[in-house]
Amino acid sequence: MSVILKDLNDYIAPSQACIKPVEVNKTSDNKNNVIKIDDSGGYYEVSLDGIETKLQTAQITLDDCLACSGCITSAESVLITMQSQEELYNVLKLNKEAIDGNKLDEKKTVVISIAPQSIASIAAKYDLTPLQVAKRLTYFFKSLGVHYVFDTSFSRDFSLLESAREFVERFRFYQEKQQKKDPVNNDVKSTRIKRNGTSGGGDEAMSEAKLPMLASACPGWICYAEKTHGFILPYVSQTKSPQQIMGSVVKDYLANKLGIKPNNIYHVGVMMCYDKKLEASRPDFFSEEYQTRDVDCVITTGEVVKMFEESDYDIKTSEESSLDNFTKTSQEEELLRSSGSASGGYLEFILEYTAREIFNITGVDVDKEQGVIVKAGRNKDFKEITLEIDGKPVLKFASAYGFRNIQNLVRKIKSNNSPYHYVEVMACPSGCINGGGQLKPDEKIPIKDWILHVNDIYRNVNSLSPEKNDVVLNLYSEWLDGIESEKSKKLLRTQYHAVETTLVNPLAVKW
Amino acid sequence: MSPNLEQIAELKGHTDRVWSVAWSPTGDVLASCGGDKTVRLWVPTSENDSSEWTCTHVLEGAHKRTIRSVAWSLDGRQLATASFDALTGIWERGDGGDYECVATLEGHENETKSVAWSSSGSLLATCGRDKSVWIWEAAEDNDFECLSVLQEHTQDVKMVIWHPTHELLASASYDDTIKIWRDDDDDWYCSDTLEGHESTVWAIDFDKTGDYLVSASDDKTIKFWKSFPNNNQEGMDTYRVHPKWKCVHTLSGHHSRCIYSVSWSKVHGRVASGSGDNVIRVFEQDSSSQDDINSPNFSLVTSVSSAHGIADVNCIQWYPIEKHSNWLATAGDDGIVRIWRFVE
Amino acid sequence: MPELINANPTIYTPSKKSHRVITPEEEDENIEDKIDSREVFDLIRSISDPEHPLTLEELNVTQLEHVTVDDNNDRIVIEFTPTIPHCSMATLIGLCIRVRLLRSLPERFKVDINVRKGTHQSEQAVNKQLNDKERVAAALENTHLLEVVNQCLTTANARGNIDK
Repeated sequence: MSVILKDLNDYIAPSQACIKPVEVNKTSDNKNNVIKIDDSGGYYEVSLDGIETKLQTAQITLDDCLACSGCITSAESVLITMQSQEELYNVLKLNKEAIDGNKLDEKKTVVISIAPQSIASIAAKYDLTPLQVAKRLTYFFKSLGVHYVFDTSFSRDFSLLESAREFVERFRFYQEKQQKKDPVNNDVKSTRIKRNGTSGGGDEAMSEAKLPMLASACPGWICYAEKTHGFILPYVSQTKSPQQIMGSVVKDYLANKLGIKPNNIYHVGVMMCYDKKLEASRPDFFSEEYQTRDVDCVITTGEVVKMFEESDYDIKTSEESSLDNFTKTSQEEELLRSSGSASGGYLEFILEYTAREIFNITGVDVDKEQGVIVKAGRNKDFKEITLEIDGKPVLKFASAYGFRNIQNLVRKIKSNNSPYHYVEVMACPSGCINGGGQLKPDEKIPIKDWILHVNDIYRNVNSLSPEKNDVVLNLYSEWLDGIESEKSKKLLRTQYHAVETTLVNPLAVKW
Repeated sequence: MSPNLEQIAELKGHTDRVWSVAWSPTGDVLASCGGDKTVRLWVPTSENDSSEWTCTHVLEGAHKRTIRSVAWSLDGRQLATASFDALTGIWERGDGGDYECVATLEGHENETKSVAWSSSGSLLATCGRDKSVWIWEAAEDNDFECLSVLQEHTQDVKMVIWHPTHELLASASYDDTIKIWRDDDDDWYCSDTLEGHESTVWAIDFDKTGDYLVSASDDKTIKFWKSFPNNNQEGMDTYRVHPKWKCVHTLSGHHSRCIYSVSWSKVHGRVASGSGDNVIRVFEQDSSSQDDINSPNFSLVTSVSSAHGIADVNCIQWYPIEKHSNWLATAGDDGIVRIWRFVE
Repeated sequence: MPELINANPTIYTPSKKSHRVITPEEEDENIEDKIDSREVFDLIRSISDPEHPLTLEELNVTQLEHVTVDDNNDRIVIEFTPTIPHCSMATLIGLCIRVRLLRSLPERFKVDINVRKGTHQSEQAVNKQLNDKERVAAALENTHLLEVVNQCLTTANARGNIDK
């Protein structure tokens, strides 16, 4: 365990010991019993006649973590124990027992959704192409008894489209307000958007929506914002992350299509980041009706490699399986990604989409720095991208990665000094490609070079605009009753909750 | 006659313990701060008589809790304050001569313990109980951008201090270590960890070259550290291309309780210490050890017991420039600031 | 009410002999009292436990023989015994003792407060924190913590004479 903990690379580090008060369950009410502790840290209750009873170790769950204001982010040790490959092994074992015992109704359909950053990390480590990795992972998981293996690039297209639409909605409100206030002054400042005569759930949410809109795909950032900067939550995009949209696709669309109940699907995410486990545990993504999570378990890239070792599996020499797809298309044997940053390409897509939707400007390509002004920030993890019309800035976007840039952004928004309309916020320096769950380079390779290398591999996959992804567009009509429907808002968007800084127990105050 | 310390002046005004004193870069003004949540600025009442000092300014209102440390900017126009209220205050002297709090830097989760300006004047470092060291860069309009949040100390960070000429930072911690921080491109990272003290390191100071560092600890010792450059003659192991710091001298047996402060004169090279045993001491490098740069040897030259009566000495600072380089300022739990003269 | 950390502590009856016999010299206001361990023990024995309506003496947390006073050199060392070895209350109890002595002893005294050797899982950590005056000073500016400390100190003046 300590080895894993040492390797963790969570950039918003917990700064205090866990203050969650725990309950010690004593076995009896005998007042004369005392509690003793042995060298290995085990607790024993000793009764008067000298009988020792081992007491249970207190358990802290992910739910406890989410609800507690004690530390800034998650307690990693909890994350590791609550959702791990062990859980997946267990489900697969139970499945096997159900089949052997001919109790097919107890069998679960096991679905795995893999993030493209995880594929890039494994490809870099084993010197394979992303397509090879995807096919071999499909082979590997299926050989363990998994039924479907998907790529979350697919659900990310939903996330990008929804984010772009949400931004355009917000921006239009913002424009209206600006014009009412001052038709000449185009100064961009953080603005609270209010609209009169709103109707419907989505609009209600919009009345609180503010600019700049902040990306919501990074669970580390969301967790930090909820725990320490409640005021900033209305700025955060309500669009779900790719992982959680995949959750909706699998537990709603796929379950329907297969004619099974959501709780009969066990859905596992393979992710670049430990905080994705925390995201999967959010009560917002739990179905009361079926008592099931949209994503049941998340394992990191590093944990997948541990599974290789535990199964004596060699990905270098492995066989390959064909990729699973929701609908047969011509691109069956090809991996695709959205263009832009390896953190999902949110900034790029939203900017290009908005330029076209609002300003009728086509041909903007942020990646190639066409039609926009890209300005490097004070450090490599901060970038400003501006769209100008006749020399006047009309859209100002930024990407802010890592704790230091988040700090500066939060301070700017708080003091009403943010010049931005949209900020792609990620907790990790270098973004998702450098997530805490990713594989580490061999000792000889400097970490910076390694990140560049993984990034290159990621970006070498051909890109396709989400708006041209037929599978996604088909699902919008087949599954979501069309674009901007009630159903699409229900399934593709979410909300955030400020964690109240309650003084847990004055007796447990750390000083 | 052997060297001794004589008290020149007693500066009374604080209504609670004084935690820290800081001379302005030119030595014209002494700033003090403490438990009464104020900073006081002191100047000699007249040019020729240093026995009378006047409190010219009281800076207050910006912090809700103890002000633990105060630091002057290079040009002497700004002051930074680190407070237990988690904020770092930036104060600026206006044209009228009055000081105004022009910015408060938020970021630390709880008590901020120390603040320091870099020699170039463009960077600010802060540290605190949340185990982190923050590096800030001055931006326009009295704004500061966070350049880095360094979280490698495992405990409370007590003090930060910059190298006298380079952008290199040292931090001292409750985790018994000192860490050296460097900037590579735009990333700050820990280039060395100095282990050797057996309890909290409360204070550190560089010598005038920045090649040596002195540290004072709760383990009642004062340690001297030297940076050994890469490819050094001594055959020391080095980490990457960075100099490696090594303890070259330890003074023990001089203080009977925690040593809270240490100051290394940039003018004459003497080291002064202040302790919870109420004693202040001055050490001087032995002339015989001057030649051997790898093992300097310091000896006690003078001390004052009960320097602040029955109270702990929390801070000691040599006058920064030639003019009165034999002056020392001390701060005590008795709420008093004292000025001493070192007489040879 | 949050779950108690030590729900069922052992209770000890203070010995009547532990009460101080007042000598004529002590009653004479003109003679400066020497501070001795009994005097210091009297100051802290009746501090309440943060979790129970019991005094530190009743819980055997403080004992006369674990108070050492060197009046001539202005030094006091107090050792206390947490009720259970993993008790997270230890730092709080130590803080109460420190605050009580800060408020009632002449300022000349330098006080060290330590957990008795072998009675706590994280002895060193507790001792280090209790004897770091900066941490103590900051703690006392935390109003929530100060409330708890003051609550524990309301009984301290009883000096062992609590009517039950």
